[in-house]
Amino acid sequence: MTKIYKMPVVVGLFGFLVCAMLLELAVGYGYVMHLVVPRPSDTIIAFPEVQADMDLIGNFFVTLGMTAAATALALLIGIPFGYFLYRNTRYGIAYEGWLAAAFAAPTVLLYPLFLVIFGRSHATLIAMGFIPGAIPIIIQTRQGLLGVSQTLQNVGRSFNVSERDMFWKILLPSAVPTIFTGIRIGVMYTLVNIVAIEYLIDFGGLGRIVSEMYFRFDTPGTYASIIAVIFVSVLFYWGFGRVEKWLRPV
Amino acid sequence: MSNLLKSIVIATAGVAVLAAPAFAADKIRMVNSTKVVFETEHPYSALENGFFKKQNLDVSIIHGSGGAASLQAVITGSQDVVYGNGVLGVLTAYAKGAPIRALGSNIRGVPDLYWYVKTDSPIKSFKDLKKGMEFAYSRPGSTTNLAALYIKNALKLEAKLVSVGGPSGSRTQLMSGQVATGWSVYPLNKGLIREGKIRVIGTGKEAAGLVGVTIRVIAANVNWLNKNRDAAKRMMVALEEGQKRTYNSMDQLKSYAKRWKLNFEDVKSAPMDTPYEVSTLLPVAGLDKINKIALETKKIKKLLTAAQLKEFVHPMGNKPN
Repeated sequence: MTKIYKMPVVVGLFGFLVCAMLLELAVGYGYVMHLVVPRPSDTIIAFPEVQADMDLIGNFFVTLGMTAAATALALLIGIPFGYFLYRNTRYGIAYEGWLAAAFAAPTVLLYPLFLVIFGRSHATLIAMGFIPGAIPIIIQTRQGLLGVSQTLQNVGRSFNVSERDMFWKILLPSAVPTIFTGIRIGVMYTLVNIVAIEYLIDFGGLGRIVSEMYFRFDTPGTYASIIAVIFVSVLFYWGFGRVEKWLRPV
Repeated sequence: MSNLLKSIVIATAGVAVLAAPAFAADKIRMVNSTKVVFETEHPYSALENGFFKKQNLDVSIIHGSGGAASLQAVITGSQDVVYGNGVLGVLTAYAKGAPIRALGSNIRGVPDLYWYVKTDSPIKSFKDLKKGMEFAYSRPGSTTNLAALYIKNALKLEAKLVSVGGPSGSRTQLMSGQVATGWSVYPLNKGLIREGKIRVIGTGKEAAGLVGVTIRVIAANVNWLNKNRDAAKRMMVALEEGQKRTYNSMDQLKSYAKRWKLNFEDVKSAPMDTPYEVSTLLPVAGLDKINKIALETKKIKKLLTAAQLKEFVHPMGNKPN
């Protein structure tokens, strides 16, 4: 059983290492310009340098914190609002199209407006991360609840369960996979927006380091900081996976 | 008779086909690192007035989104020449092994940059910028960053340097009270000065340490340059001609205003705001200073040698002496 569980991880790591080695050779032999993509080994070597120069770890936690705050806000508002749209069909139908359109819009371009409202502060980052994060959560929460089997609901009613129990014991557990799909999409968009704004306004965590390294033409440093962004993403993806499993073990 | 006619037609066609490459204009792909700014106007002048064509060149011009992105396009070979790129970025890229060389200067010093406040602000000049007040610049390592740093040091200001992005972002943040100062470049935002909404508190001329130092350059991919040196030289001649036209022709200024939807009133004085003497394509001056700034701002890890600095500049497309 353990072997079956571990195999995909091993295969994944092996594939990753093979790709890294191929890239190392391609850059080494000049097939790929080192100023555009560095050798993976150079990127690894760049980590301590970026840490010493720009406090990579400290800024990792800044971006992590901003993303966590924006995601928490998106969850706090997104799930209840999604539930509201599920309970009120007319509102649900009326707003779903608007929400989908808003989700597709490049809200990151609105950053000057947010700068005016919130100033050059972490509040701007959180607000701009919150918007693209909340929308998929709202949509998927509504969709998840709409998709709950009628049979399950009828069984609940036959047991005369209260509205509260109906929600916590039947609706929510059934909708969890769909809601978490929305959360995963939301957290990715939140992270992308936050890093993009950090890059654009030269404020905050990892995005600012990516920008600084890029403008220095320090390609290994740029990629090292991009990898740090990927680690933030991996951490959230893994974390929400664990929470989902906890909420719905089967 | 018929056979003779056929032979003549075939022979003519053959000669035409063989001769075609000899007459075909040399293609050059140019990326202009900034649009609207006066000093990056000259390639359009050369294009519109047929100066490139006169040099048997077929030049295409696109706009880049800032220095680094434009330079990257030339480094990767997707464009041949970058016009008006910050010298600090180009020198840094060269130091990191990028195949890039400077062909000429675009501007020496930063006389076209200016800083402003809202009309009702108590700040009258740079000297009024007190401790903690925001002294705006665009991005770290940019020309405005450099200029702001030099002004701050020259005037011993205790103001705080703050990155606010481009001229429009800067204006938004100033007008909404987020920062104490805004920055711009002539002739942008001149309409606001004319309308009395903003007031200029100083210009880049006060960055005394940068006077006479090349700040923006025209640069080319060295692989392209080695294969197309003659075309590069002709391009520089055409650019010089285009530049003279921009400075000496009201019609060209009108065309400039029309292209970027600027008010002609704001554009008329552009040649005075950016005097011709600082815009001549040669010399590429003050690279020693830029070299030191690059080291101080951690763009490079060690100073470039004199030989490297010499190799970096190919004046007017010619090999370094």
